[in-house]
Amino acid sequence: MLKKQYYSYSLLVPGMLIFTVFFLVPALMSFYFAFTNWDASFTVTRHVGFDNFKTLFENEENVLAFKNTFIFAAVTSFFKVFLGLLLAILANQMIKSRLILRSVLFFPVILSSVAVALAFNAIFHPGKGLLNTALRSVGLDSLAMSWLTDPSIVIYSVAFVEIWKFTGMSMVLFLAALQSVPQDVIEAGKIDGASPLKMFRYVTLPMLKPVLNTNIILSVIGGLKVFDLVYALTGGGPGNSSSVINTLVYKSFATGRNGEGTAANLVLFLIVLITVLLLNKIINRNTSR
Amino acid sequence: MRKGTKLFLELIALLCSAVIAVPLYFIIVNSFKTKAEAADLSLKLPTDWNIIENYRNVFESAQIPMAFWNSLVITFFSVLFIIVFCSMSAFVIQRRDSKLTRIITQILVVGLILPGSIITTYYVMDFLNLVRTYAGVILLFIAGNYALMTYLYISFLQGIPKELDEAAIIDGSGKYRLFFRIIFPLLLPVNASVLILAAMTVWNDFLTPFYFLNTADRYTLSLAIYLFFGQKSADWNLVFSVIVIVSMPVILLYMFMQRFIIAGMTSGAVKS
Repeated sequence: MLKKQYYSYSLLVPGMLIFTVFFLVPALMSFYFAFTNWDASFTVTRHVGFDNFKTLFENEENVLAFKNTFIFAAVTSFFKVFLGLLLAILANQMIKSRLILRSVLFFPVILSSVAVALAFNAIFHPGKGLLNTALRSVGLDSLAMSWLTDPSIVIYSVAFVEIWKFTGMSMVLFLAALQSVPQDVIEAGKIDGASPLKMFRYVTLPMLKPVLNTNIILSVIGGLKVFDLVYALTGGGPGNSSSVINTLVYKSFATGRNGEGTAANLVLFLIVLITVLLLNKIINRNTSR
Repeated sequence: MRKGTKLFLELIALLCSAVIAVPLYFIIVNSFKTKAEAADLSLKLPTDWNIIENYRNVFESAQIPMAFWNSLVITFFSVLFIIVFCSMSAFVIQRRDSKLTRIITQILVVGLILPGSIITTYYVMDFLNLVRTYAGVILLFIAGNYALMTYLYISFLQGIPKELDEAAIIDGSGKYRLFFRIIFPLLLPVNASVLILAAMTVWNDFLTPFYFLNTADRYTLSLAIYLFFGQKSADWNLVFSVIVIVSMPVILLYMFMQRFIIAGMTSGAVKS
Protein backbone atom coordinates (compact mmCIF):
# COMPACT_ATOMS: atom_id res chain seq x y z
CA MET A 1 0.00 0.00 0.00
CA LEU A 2 2.96 2.26 0.61
CA LYS A 3 3.64 1.99 -3.09
CA LYS A 4 0.57 3.98 -4.10
CA GLN A 5 2.38 7.23 -3.49
CA TYR A 6 4.86 6.29 -6.21
CA TYR A 7 2.10 6.17 -8.81
CA SER A 8 0.93 9.65 -7.98
CA TYR A 9 -2.21 11.04 -9.57
CA SER A 10 -0.26 14.23 -10.16
CA LEU A 11 1.28 12.53 -13.22
CA LEU A 12 -2.23 12.02 -14.57
CA VAL A 13 -3.32 15.63 -14.16
CA PRO A 14 -1.92 17.52 -17.19
CA GLY A 15 -3.11 15.06 -19.85
CA MET A 16 -6.45 14.33 -18.21
CA LEU A 17 -7.12 18.03 -17.64
CA ILE A 18 -6.57 18.92 -21.31
CA PHE A 19 -8.62 15.92 -22.45
CA THR A 20 -11.46 16.89 -20.12
CA VAL A 21 -11.59 20.57 -21.02
CA PHE A 22 -11.16 20.17 -24.79
CA PHE A 23 -12.89 16.85 -25.44
CA LEU A 24 -15.19 15.68 -22.64
CA VAL A 25 -16.68 19.02 -21.64
CA PRO A 26 -17.59 20.03 -25.22
CA ALA A 27 -19.08 16.57 -25.76
CA LEU A 28 -21.29 16.91 -22.67
CA MET A 29 -22.22 20.50 -23.55
CA SER A 30 -23.62 19.36 -26.88
CA PHE A 31 -26.41 17.54 -25.02
CA TYR A 32 -27.59 20.93 -23.80
CA PHE A 33 -26.97 23.22 -26.78
CA ALA A 34 -28.47 20.82 -29.33
CA PHE A 35 -31.86 21.67 -27.81
CA THR A 36 -31.50 25.46 -28.06
CA ASN A 37 -31.55 28.16 -30.74
CA TRP A 38 -27.82 28.83 -30.18
CA ASP A 39 -26.84 31.53 -32.70
CA ALA A 40 -23.74 32.96 -34.35
CA SER A 41 -22.77 34.99 -31.29
CA PHE A 42 -23.21 31.94 -29.02
CA THR A 43 -26.24 33.29 -27.22
CA VAL A 44 -29.25 31.21 -26.29
CA THR A 45 -32.63 32.91 -26.14
CA ARG A 46 -34.89 29.91 -26.36
CA HIS A 47 -35.03 26.20 -25.64
CA VAL A 48 -36.50 24.61 -28.70
CA GLY A 49 -36.95 21.00 -27.62
CA PHE A 50 -36.49 18.68 -30.56
CA ASP A 51 -36.98 21.37 -33.23
CA ASN A 52 -33.35 21.24 -34.40
CA PHE A 53 -33.62 17.50 -34.89
CA LYS A 54 -36.92 17.91 -36.73
CA THR A 55 -35.27 20.37 -39.12
CA LEU A 56 -32.45 17.89 -39.65
CA PHE A 57 -34.73 15.05 -40.62
CA GLU A 58 -37.40 17.01 -42.47
CA ASN A 59 -35.17 19.08 -44.73
CA GLU A 60 -34.31 17.07 -47.83
CA GLU A 61 -30.81 18.54 -48.13
CA ASN A 62 -29.99 17.36 -44.62
CA VAL A 63 -31.46 13.92 -45.16
CA LEU A 64 -29.21 13.58 -48.20
CA ALA A 65 -26.17 14.31 -46.01
CA PHE A 66 -27.16 11.47 -43.67
CA LYS A 67 -27.80 9.12 -46.58
CA ASN A 68 -24.44 10.00 -48.14
CA THR A 69 -22.65 9.41 -44.85
CA PHE A 70 -24.09 5.90 -44.63
CA ILE A 71 -23.32 5.15 -48.29
CA PHE A 72 -19.78 6.43 -47.87
CA ALA A 73 -19.15 4.45 -44.67
CA ALA A 74 -20.63 1.25 -46.08
CA VAL A 75 -18.97 1.36 -49.50
CA THR A 76 -15.53 2.35 -48.22
CA SER A 77 -15.60 -0.18 -45.37
CA PHE A 78 -16.61 -3.03 -47.64
CA PHE A 79 -13.89 -2.39 -50.20
CA LYS A 80 -11.16 -1.42 -47.76
CA VAL A 81 -11.66 -4.61 -45.76
CA PHE A 82 -12.30 -6.96 -48.69
CA LEU A 83 -9.50 -5.67 -50.93
CA GLY A 84 -7.22 -5.29 -47.94
CA LEU A 85 -7.69 -8.96 -47.08
CA LEU A 86 -7.11 -10.15 -50.66
CA LEU A 87 -4.02 -7.99 -51.02
CA ALA A 88 -2.64 -9.16 -47.66
CA ILE A 89 -3.00 -12.77 -48.79
CA LEU A 90 -1.28 -11.87 -52.05
CA ALA A 91 1.53 -10.04 -50.25
CA ASN A 92 1.99 -13.10 -48.01
CA GLN A 93 2.76 -15.40 -50.98
CA MET A 94 6.27 -16.29 -51.99
CA ILE A 95 6.33 -13.96 -54.97
CA LYS A 96 9.02 -11.51 -56.01
CA SER A 97 6.76 -8.46 -56.17
CA ARG A 98 5.46 -8.82 -52.62
CA LEU A 99 7.83 -6.19 -51.22
CA ILE A 100 6.83 -3.72 -53.93
CA LEU A 101 3.18 -4.41 -53.20
CA ARG A 102 3.64 -3.85 -49.47
CA SER A 103 5.51 -0.56 -49.63
CA VAL A 104 3.57 0.96 -52.52
CA LEU A 105 0.14 0.13 -51.11
CA PHE A 106 0.95 1.67 -47.75
CA PHE A 107 2.33 4.86 -49.23
CA PRO A 108 -0.91 6.88 -49.70
CA VAL A 109 -1.90 6.15 -46.08
CA ILE A 110 0.71 8.62 -44.84
CA LEU A 111 -0.24 11.44 -47.23
CA SER A 112 -2.58 14.24 -46.22
CA SER A 113 -6.18 13.90 -47.37
CA VAL A 114 -6.09 17.42 -48.78
CA ALA A 115 -3.05 16.67 -50.94
CA VAL A 116 -4.66 13.47 -52.21
CA ALA A 117 -7.93 15.30 -52.87
CA LEU A 118 -6.17 17.97 -54.95
CA ALA A 119 -4.39 15.31 -57.02
CA PHE A 120 -7.66 13.49 -57.65
CA ASN A 121 -9.23 16.72 -58.83
CA ALA A 122 -6.82 16.37 -61.75
CA ILE A 123 -7.19 12.59 -62.11
CA PHE A 124 -11.00 12.87 -62.24
CA HIS A 125 -10.91 15.70 -64.81
CA PRO A 126 -13.67 14.76 -67.28
CA GLY A 127 -11.84 15.75 -70.48
CA LYS A 128 -8.17 14.97 -69.93
CA GLY A 129 -7.96 13.33 -66.50
CA LEU A 130 -6.01 10.08 -66.11
CA LEU A 131 -9.05 7.98 -65.25
CA ASN A 132 -11.11 8.88 -68.31
CA THR A 133 -8.05 8.79 -70.58
CA ALA A 134 -7.30 5.27 -69.35
CA LEU A 135 -10.90 4.16 -69.83
CA ARG A 136 -11.00 5.58 -73.36
CA SER A 137 -7.71 4.01 -74.31
CA VAL A 138 -9.08 0.54 -73.57
CA GLY A 139 -12.30 1.26 -75.44
CA LEU A 140 -14.55 1.81 -72.44
CA ASP A 141 -15.64 5.26 -73.57
CA SER A 142 -19.10 4.77 -72.11
CA LEU A 143 -17.62 4.44 -68.60
CA ALA A 144 -15.80 7.77 -68.84
CA MET A 145 -17.88 10.06 -66.64
CA SER A 146 -17.94 13.47 -64.99
CA TRP A 147 -16.79 11.95 -61.73
CA LEU A 148 -17.00 15.02 -59.54
CA THR A 149 -19.76 17.02 -61.22
CA ASP A 150 -22.43 14.38 -61.82
CA PRO A 151 -24.63 14.54 -58.68
CA SER A 152 -25.69 10.90 -58.96
CA ILE A 153 -22.17 9.44 -58.74
CA VAL A 154 -20.10 12.05 -56.93
CA ILE A 155 -20.30 10.40 -53.47
CA TYR A 156 -19.00 7.15 -55.00
CA SER A 157 -16.11 9.02 -56.60
CA VAL A 158 -15.16 10.42 -53.20
CA ALA A 159 -15.51 6.93 -51.72
CA PHE A 160 -13.17 5.62 -54.44
CA VAL A 161 -10.46 8.06 -53.34
CA GLU A 162 -10.86 6.98 -49.70
CA ILE A 163 -10.53 3.34 -50.76
CA TRP A 164 -7.49 4.17 -52.90
CA LYS A 165 -5.86 5.96 -49.97
CA PHE A 166 -6.62 3.56 -47.10
CA THR A 167 -6.75 0.00 -48.46
CA GLY A 168 -3.02 -0.21 -47.72
CA MET A 169 -3.75 0.38 -44.04
CA SER A 170 -6.16 -2.52 -43.79
CA MET A 171 -3.76 -4.67 -45.84
CA VAL A 172 -0.93 -3.98 -43.40
CA LEU A 173 -3.08 -4.94 -40.40
CA PHE A 174 -4.19 -8.19 -42.07
CA LEU A 175 -0.64 -8.95 -43.12
CA ALA A 176 0.65 -8.59 -39.57
CA ALA A 177 -2.00 -11.10 -38.44
CA LEU A 178 -1.26 -13.50 -41.32
CA GLN A 179 2.41 -13.52 -40.45
CA SER A 180 1.62 -14.39 -36.87
CA VAL A 181 -0.14 -17.64 -37.87
CA PRO A 182 2.24 -20.23 -36.38
CA GLN A 183 4.24 -22.14 -38.98
CA ASP A 184 3.67 -25.54 -37.30
CA VAL A 185 -0.11 -25.15 -37.63
CA ILE A 186 0.33 -24.61 -41.37
CA GLU A 187 2.69 -27.58 -41.62
CA ALA A 188 0.27 -29.79 -39.72
CA GLY A 189 -2.53 -28.82 -42.10
CA LYS A 190 -0.39 -29.63 -45.11
CA ILE A 191 0.56 -33.03 -43.72
CA ASP A 192 -3.11 -33.79 -43.16
CA GLY A 193 -3.61 -33.04 -46.84
CA ALA A 194 -5.85 -29.98 -46.54
CA SER A 195 -6.38 -28.07 -49.79
CA PRO A 196 -5.26 -24.42 -49.84
CA LEU A 197 -8.91 -23.34 -49.77
CA LYS A 198 -9.69 -25.53 -46.77
CA MET A 199 -6.52 -24.33 -45.07
CA PHE A 200 -7.73 -20.77 -45.49
CA ARG A 201 -11.25 -21.51 -44.29
CA TYR A 202 -10.35 -23.57 -41.24
CA VAL A 203 -6.88 -22.37 -40.22
CA THR A 204 -6.18 -18.85 -41.43
CA LEU A 205 -9.61 -17.23 -41.30
CA PRO A 206 -10.33 -18.03 -37.63
CA MET A 207 -6.96 -16.55 -36.74
CA LEU A 208 -7.75 -13.41 -38.73
CA LYS A 209 -11.03 -12.91 -36.91
CA PRO A 210 -9.83 -10.34 -34.32
CA VAL A 211 -8.08 -8.17 -36.89
CA LEU A 212 -11.03 -8.52 -39.26
CA ASN A 213 -13.29 -7.11 -36.54
CA THR A 214 -10.86 -4.31 -35.82
CA ASN A 215 -10.61 -3.43 -39.48
CA ILE A 216 -14.38 -3.34 -39.94
CA ILE A 217 -14.94 -1.16 -36.88
CA LEU A 218 -12.07 1.22 -37.72
CA SER A 219 -13.27 1.64 -41.32
CA VAL A 220 -16.89 2.21 -40.37
CA ILE A 221 -16.00 4.80 -37.71
CA GLY A 222 -13.58 6.51 -40.08
CA GLY A 223 -16.21 6.56 -42.82
CA LEU A 224 -18.92 8.04 -40.61
CA LYS A 225 -16.58 10.78 -39.39
CA VAL A 226 -15.27 11.79 -42.84
CA PHE A 227 -14.71 15.48 -43.50
CA ASP A 228 -11.32 16.45 -45.00
CA LEU A 229 -11.55 14.36 -48.13
CA VAL A 230 -15.11 15.36 -49.00
CA TYR A 231 -14.52 19.00 -48.27
CA ALA A 232 -11.29 19.24 -50.25
CA LEU A 233 -12.58 17.22 -53.22
CA THR A 234 -16.05 18.66 -53.70
CA GLY A 235 -16.92 20.97 -50.80
CA GLY A 236 -20.05 18.83 -50.50
CA GLY A 237 -21.14 19.75 -54.02
CA PRO A 238 -22.23 20.05 -56.72
CA GLY A 239 -25.10 21.64 -54.82
CA ASN A 240 -25.42 19.36 -51.81
CA SER A 241 -25.03 16.13 -53.70
CA SER A 242 -21.91 14.93 -51.86
CA SER A 243 -22.56 16.50 -48.46
CA VAL A 244 -22.01 14.35 -45.38
CA ILE A 245 -22.82 14.95 -41.71
CA ASN A 246 -19.57 16.76 -40.99
CA THR A 247 -19.94 19.14 -43.95
CA LEU A 248 -23.48 19.77 -42.71
CA VAL A 249 -22.08 20.69 -39.29
CA TYR A 250 -19.66 23.08 -40.95
CA LYS A 251 -22.40 24.68 -43.05
CA SER A 252 -24.54 25.28 -39.97
CA PHE A 253 -21.55 26.73 -38.13
CA ALA A 254 -20.58 28.99 -41.05
CA THR A 255 -24.13 30.35 -41.31
CA GLY A 256 -24.47 30.89 -37.56
CA ARG A 257 -27.03 28.16 -36.89
CA ASN A 258 -25.00 26.71 -34.05
CA GLY A 259 -27.91 24.96 -32.35
CA GLU A 260 -28.65 23.00 -35.51
CA GLY A 261 -24.98 22.25 -36.11
CA THR A 262 -24.59 20.93 -32.58
CA ALA A 263 -27.69 18.79 -33.06
CA ALA A 264 -26.21 17.32 -36.27
CA ASN A 265 -22.96 16.63 -34.42
CA LEU A 266 -24.89 14.94 -31.62
CA VAL A 267 -26.71 12.75 -34.14
CA LEU A 268 -23.34 11.72 -35.62
CA PHE A 269 -22.17 10.96 -32.08
CA LEU A 270 -25.18 8.70 -31.51
CA ILE A 271 -24.90 7.05 -34.92
CA VAL A 272 -21.26 6.14 -34.27
CA LEU A 273 -22.11 4.86 -30.80
CA ILE A 274 -25.03 2.71 -31.98
CA THR A 275 -23.11 1.40 -34.99
CA VAL A 276 -20.15 0.33 -32.85
CA LEU A 277 -22.42 -1.34 -30.29
CA LEU A 278 -24.34 -3.17 -33.04
CA LEU A 279 -21.17 -4.27 -34.83
CA ASN A 280 -19.72 -5.51 -31.56
CA LYS A 281 -22.87 -7.50 -30.86
CA ILE A 282 -22.90 -9.09 -34.31
CA ILE A 283 -19.21 -9.88 -34.07
CA ASN A 284 -19.50 -11.42 -30.59
CA ARG A 285 -22.46 -13.53 -31.65
CA ASN A 286 -20.47 -14.86 -34.60
CA THR A 287 -17.42 -15.68 -32.54
CA SER A 288 -19.31 -17.44 -29.78
CA ARG A 289 -21.07 -19.70 -32.27
CA MET B 1 3.11 -23.34 -56.38
CA ARG B 2 2.91 -23.96 -60.11
CA LYS B 3 4.89 -21.68 -62.35
CA GLY B 4 1.80 -20.40 -64.16
CA THR B 5 0.00 -19.53 -60.95
CA LYS B 6 3.07 -17.77 -59.66
CA LEU B 7 3.43 -15.66 -62.78
CA PHE B 8 -0.25 -14.80 -62.62
CA LEU B 9 0.07 -13.67 -58.97
CA GLU B 10 3.14 -11.59 -59.81
CA LEU B 11 1.16 -9.84 -62.52
CA ILE B 12 -1.79 -9.12 -60.23
CA ALA B 13 0.56 -7.76 -57.56
CA LEU B 14 2.26 -5.46 -60.05
CA LEU B 15 -1.07 -4.31 -61.44
CA CYS B 16 -2.37 -3.44 -57.96
CA SER B 17 0.86 -1.62 -57.16
CA ALA B 18 0.47 0.34 -60.40
CA VAL B 19 -3.02 1.52 -59.42
CA ILE B 20 -1.41 3.23 -56.43
CA ALA B 21 1.93 4.14 -57.97
CA VAL B 22 0.72 5.77 -61.20
CA PRO B 23 -1.16 8.63 -59.49
CA LEU B 24 1.89 9.23 -57.27
CA TYR B 25 4.19 9.35 -60.30
CA PHE B 26 1.62 11.60 -61.99
CA ILE B 27 1.85 14.15 -59.15
CA ILE B 28 5.64 14.23 -59.18
CA VAL B 29 6.18 14.34 -62.92
CA ASN B 30 3.67 17.14 -63.40
CA SER B 31 5.30 19.22 -60.69
CA PHE B 32 8.37 19.29 -63.00
CA LYS B 33 6.54 20.71 -66.02
CA THR B 34 5.80 24.18 -67.32
CA LYS B 35 2.31 25.56 -66.85
CA ALA B 36 1.32 24.83 -70.46
CA GLU B 37 2.56 21.25 -70.39
CA ALA B 38 1.11 20.44 -66.96
CA ALA B 39 -2.27 21.64 -68.19
CA ASP B 40 -2.47 18.49 -70.34
CA LEU B 41 -2.55 16.39 -67.13
CA SER B 42 -0.66 13.63 -68.91
CA LEU B 43 1.87 11.05 -67.73
CA LYS B 44 4.48 12.07 -70.29
CA LEU B 45 7.91 13.17 -69.18
CA PRO B 46 8.36 16.93 -69.41
CA THR B 47 9.96 18.21 -72.63
CA ASP B 48 10.86 21.36 -70.79
CA TRP B 49 12.05 20.67 -67.23
CA ASN B 50 10.81 23.42 -64.99
CA ILE B 51 11.66 22.04 -61.56
CA ILE B 52 13.53 24.89 -59.93
CA GLU B 53 11.23 27.57 -61.31
CA ASN B 54 8.11 25.79 -60.04
CA TYR B 55 9.38 25.21 -56.54
CA ARG B 56 10.86 28.69 -56.33
CA ASN B 57 7.58 30.10 -57.54
CA VAL B 58 5.69 28.27 -54.79
CA PHE B 59 8.13 29.35 -52.11
CA GLU B 60 7.89 32.95 -53.25
CA SER B 61 4.14 33.02 -52.79
CA ALA B 62 4.33 34.34 -49.23
CA GLN B 63 1.74 31.99 -47.71
CA ILE B 64 3.57 28.74 -48.29
CA PRO B 65 6.87 29.28 -46.39
CA MET B 66 4.97 30.85 -43.51
CA ALA B 67 2.45 28.00 -43.46
CA PHE B 68 5.33 25.51 -43.54
CA TRP B 69 6.83 27.18 -40.48
CA ASN B 70 3.45 27.29 -38.69
CA SER B 71 2.90 23.58 -39.33
CA LEU B 72 6.38 22.81 -38.08
CA VAL B 73 5.93 24.74 -34.81
CA ILE B 74 2.47 23.33 -34.14
CA THR B 75 3.49 19.76 -34.96
CA PHE B 76 6.64 19.97 -32.82
CA PHE B 77 4.93 21.20 -29.67
CA SER B 78 1.83 19.02 -30.08
CA VAL B 79 3.94 15.88 -30.44
CA LEU B 80 6.24 16.84 -27.58
CA PHE B 81 3.35 17.32 -25.17
CA ILE B 82 1.51 14.25 -26.46
CA ILE B 83 4.57 12.10 -25.69
CA VAL B 84 5.13 13.57 -22.22
CA PHE B 85 1.52 13.81 -21.01
CA CYS B 86 0.24 10.53 -22.48
CA SER B 87 3.15 8.48 -21.15
CA MET B 88 2.73 10.04 -17.67
CA SER B 89 -1.00 9.31 -17.67
CA ALA B 90 -0.52 5.78 -18.96
CA PHE B 91 2.01 5.01 -16.24
CA VAL B 92 -0.46 5.84 -13.46
CA ILE B 93 -3.42 4.19 -15.21
CA GLN B 94 -1.53 0.97 -15.90
CA ARG B 95 0.30 0.68 -12.56
CA ARG B 96 -2.43 1.74 -10.19
CA ASP B 97 -5.62 -0.30 -9.95
CA SER B 98 -8.18 1.98 -8.34
CA LYS B 99 -11.77 2.97 -8.99
CA LEU B 100 -10.61 6.20 -10.61
CA THR B 101 -8.17 4.58 -13.02
CA ARG B 102 -10.80 2.02 -14.00
CA ILE B 103 -13.27 4.79 -14.80
CA ILE B 104 -10.63 6.65 -16.79
CA THR B 105 -9.89 3.52 -18.82
CA GLN B 106 -13.59 3.37 -19.74
CA ILE B 107 -13.61 7.06 -20.68
CA LEU B 108 -10.58 6.54 -22.91
CA VAL B 109 -12.39 3.79 -24.82
CA VAL B 110 -15.25 6.22 -25.42
CA GLY B 111 -12.73 8.86 -26.53
CA LEU B 112 -11.22 6.40 -29.01
CA ILE B 113 -14.52 5.76 -30.72
CA LEU B 114 -16.69 8.84 -30.60
CA PRO B 115 -16.29 11.97 -32.73
CA GLY B 116 -15.53 15.27 -31.01
CA SER B 117 -18.19 17.92 -30.82
CA ILE B 118 -16.85 20.74 -32.96
CA ILE B 119 -19.12 23.71 -32.35
CA THR B 120 -19.17 23.34 -28.57
CA THR B 121 -15.38 22.99 -28.70
CA TYR B 122 -15.30 26.26 -30.59
CA TYR B 123 -17.37 27.81 -27.81
CA VAL B 124 -14.95 26.57 -25.12
CA MET B 125 -11.98 27.84 -27.14
CA ASP B 126 -13.68 31.19 -27.64
CA PHE B 127 -14.47 31.42 -23.93
CA LEU B 128 -10.80 30.82 -23.09
CA ASN B 129 -9.65 33.28 -25.79
CA LEU B 130 -7.82 30.49 -27.60
CA VAL B 131 -9.39 30.72 -31.05
CA ARG B 132 -6.80 31.59 -33.73
CA THR B 133 -3.87 30.94 -31.37
CA TYR B 134 -1.12 28.33 -31.69
CA ALA B 135 -1.58 27.38 -28.03
CA GLY B 136 -5.25 26.68 -28.67
CA VAL B 137 -4.76 24.29 -31.58
CA ILE B 138 -1.87 22.57 -29.80
CA LEU B 139 -4.19 21.92 -26.83
CA LEU B 140 -6.82 20.56 -29.23
CA PHE B 141 -4.30 18.23 -30.85
CA ILE B 142 -3.24 16.93 -27.44
CA ALA B 143 -6.90 16.34 -26.47
CA GLY B 144 -7.71 14.74 -29.83
CA ASN B 145 -4.81 12.29 -29.67
CA TYR B 146 -4.90 11.66 -25.92
CA ALA B 147 -7.07 8.54 -25.87
CA LEU B 148 -5.28 6.60 -28.61
CA MET B 149 -1.75 7.51 -27.60
CA THR B 150 -2.35 6.82 -23.90
CA TYR B 151 -3.65 3.42 -24.95
CA LEU B 152 -0.48 2.70 -26.90
CA TYR B 153 1.58 3.52 -23.82
CA ILE B 154 -0.63 1.43 -21.53
CA SER B 155 -0.24 -1.67 -23.67
CA PHE B 156 3.52 -1.18 -23.83
CA LEU B 157 3.82 -0.61 -20.06
CA GLN B 158 2.15 -3.97 -19.45
CA GLY B 159 5.40 -5.50 -20.67
CA ILE B 160 7.57 -3.64 -18.16
CA PRO B 161 7.62 -5.60 -14.87
CA LYS B 162 6.58 -3.89 -11.64
CA GLU B 163 9.62 -5.44 -9.92
CA LEU B 164 11.65 -2.81 -11.70
CA ASP B 165 9.69 -0.06 -9.92
CA GLU B 166 10.24 -1.81 -6.57
CA ALA B 167 13.97 -2.04 -7.15
CA ALA B 168 14.11 1.65 -8.04
CA ILE B 169 12.08 2.59 -4.97
CA ILE B 170 14.36 0.54 -2.71
CA ASP B 171 17.30 2.38 -4.27
CA GLY B 172 15.67 5.57 -3.09
CA SER B 173 13.93 6.90 -6.19
CA GLY B 174 11.15 9.42 -5.59
CA LYS B 175 7.94 9.25 -7.61
CA TYR B 176 9.04 11.65 -10.36
CA ARG B 177 12.52 10.19 -10.56
CA LEU B 178 10.99 6.73 -10.85
CA PHE B 179 8.99 7.73 -13.88
CA PHE B 180 11.29 10.12 -15.69
CA ARG B 181 14.65 8.45 -14.97
CA ILE B 182 13.77 4.77 -14.75
CA ILE B 183 10.58 4.11 -16.74
CA PHE B 184 10.58 6.79 -19.45
CA PRO B 185 13.91 5.71 -21.03
CA LEU B 186 12.48 2.19 -21.41
CA LEU B 187 9.61 3.53 -23.49
CA LEU B 188 11.86 4.32 -26.45
CA PRO B 189 10.20 1.99 -29.01
CA VAL B 190 6.68 3.12 -28.19
CA ASN B 191 7.85 6.74 -28.06
CA ALA B 192 9.04 6.31 -31.63
CA SER B 193 5.67 4.92 -32.71
CA VAL B 194 3.75 7.67 -30.93
CA LEU B 195 6.08 10.30 -32.34
CA ILE B 196 5.55 9.28 -35.92
CA LEU B 197 1.81 8.57 -35.65
CA ALA B 198 1.12 11.84 -33.85
CA ALA B 199 3.40 13.84 -36.14
CA MET B 200 1.62 12.49 -39.21
CA THR B 201 -1.84 13.08 -37.76
CA VAL B 202 -1.07 16.63 -36.69
CA TRP B 203 0.86 17.58 -39.83
CA ASN B 204 -1.87 16.25 -42.14
CA ASP B 205 -4.83 17.50 -40.11
CA PHE B 206 -7.15 19.84 -41.94
CA LEU B 207 -10.26 20.15 -39.77
CA THR B 208 -8.64 21.69 -36.68
CA PRO B 209 -6.81 24.58 -38.38
CA PHE B 210 -9.80 25.01 -40.72
CA TYR B 211 -12.09 25.82 -37.79
CA PHE B 212 -9.72 27.22 -35.23
CA LEU B 213 -6.79 28.90 -37.00
CA ASN B 214 -8.63 30.71 -39.72
CA THR B 215 -6.42 33.74 -40.11
CA ALA B 216 -4.00 34.22 -43.01
CA ASP B 217 -0.70 34.50 -41.16
CA ARG B 218 -1.40 31.42 -39.00
CA TYR B 219 -2.54 28.97 -41.68
CA THR B 220 -0.99 25.54 -41.47
CA LEU B 221 0.31 23.91 -44.61
CA SER B 222 -2.69 21.65 -45.21
CA LEU B 223 -5.01 24.65 -45.03
CA ALA B 224 -2.69 26.80 -47.14
CA ILE B 225 -2.46 24.27 -49.99
CA TYR B 226 -6.25 23.96 -50.03
CA LEU B 227 -6.61 27.74 -50.41
CA PHE B 228 -3.69 27.85 -52.85
CA PHE B 229 -5.62 25.41 -55.04
CA GLY B 230 -8.64 27.71 -54.89
CA GLN B 231 -6.60 30.62 -56.23
CA LYS B 232 -4.29 28.84 -58.66
CA SER B 233 -6.27 25.91 -59.98
CA ALA B 234 -5.22 26.90 -63.49
CA ASP B 235 -1.52 26.46 -62.64
CA TRP B 236 -1.45 22.69 -62.27
CA ASN B 237 2.36 22.62 -62.22
CA LEU B 238 2.31 24.77 -59.06
CA VAL B 239 -0.53 22.82 -57.48
CA PHE B 240 1.45 19.59 -57.92
CA SER B 241 4.60 21.22 -56.52
CA VAL B 242 2.64 22.26 -53.45
CA ILE B 243 1.35 18.71 -53.02
CA VAL B 244 4.93 17.42 -53.12
CA ILE B 245 6.03 20.03 -50.58
CA VAL B 246 3.33 19.20 -48.05
CA SER B 247 4.05 15.48 -48.41
CA MET B 248 7.86 15.65 -48.18
CA PRO B 249 8.17 15.81 -44.37
CA VAL B 250 5.87 12.82 -43.75
CA ILE B 251 7.61 10.86 -46.50
CA LEU B 252 10.98 11.52 -44.85
CA LEU B 253 9.60 10.45 -41.47
CA TYR B 254 8.17 7.34 -43.09
CA MET B 255 11.42 6.40 -44.79
CA PHE B 256 13.46 6.65 -41.63
CA MET B 257 10.94 5.22 -39.20
CA GLN B 258 8.83 2.81 -41.27
CA ARG B 259 9.19 0.02 -38.71
CA PHE B 260 7.65 2.10 -35.94
CA ILE B 261 4.62 3.25 -37.98
CA ILE B 262 3.54 -0.28 -38.69
CA ALA B 263 4.25 -1.35 -35.10
CA GLY B 264 2.25 1.58 -33.73
CA MET B 265 -0.69 1.10 -36.06
CA THR B 266 -0.83 -2.63 -35.47
CA SER B 267 -0.75 -2.43 -31.67
CA GLY B 268 -3.08 0.57 -31.60
CA ALA B 269 -5.61 -1.09 -33.85
CA VAL B 270 -5.59 -4.40 -32.03
CA LYS B 271 -6.05 -2.70 -28.66
CA SER B 272 -8.97 -0.61 -29.81
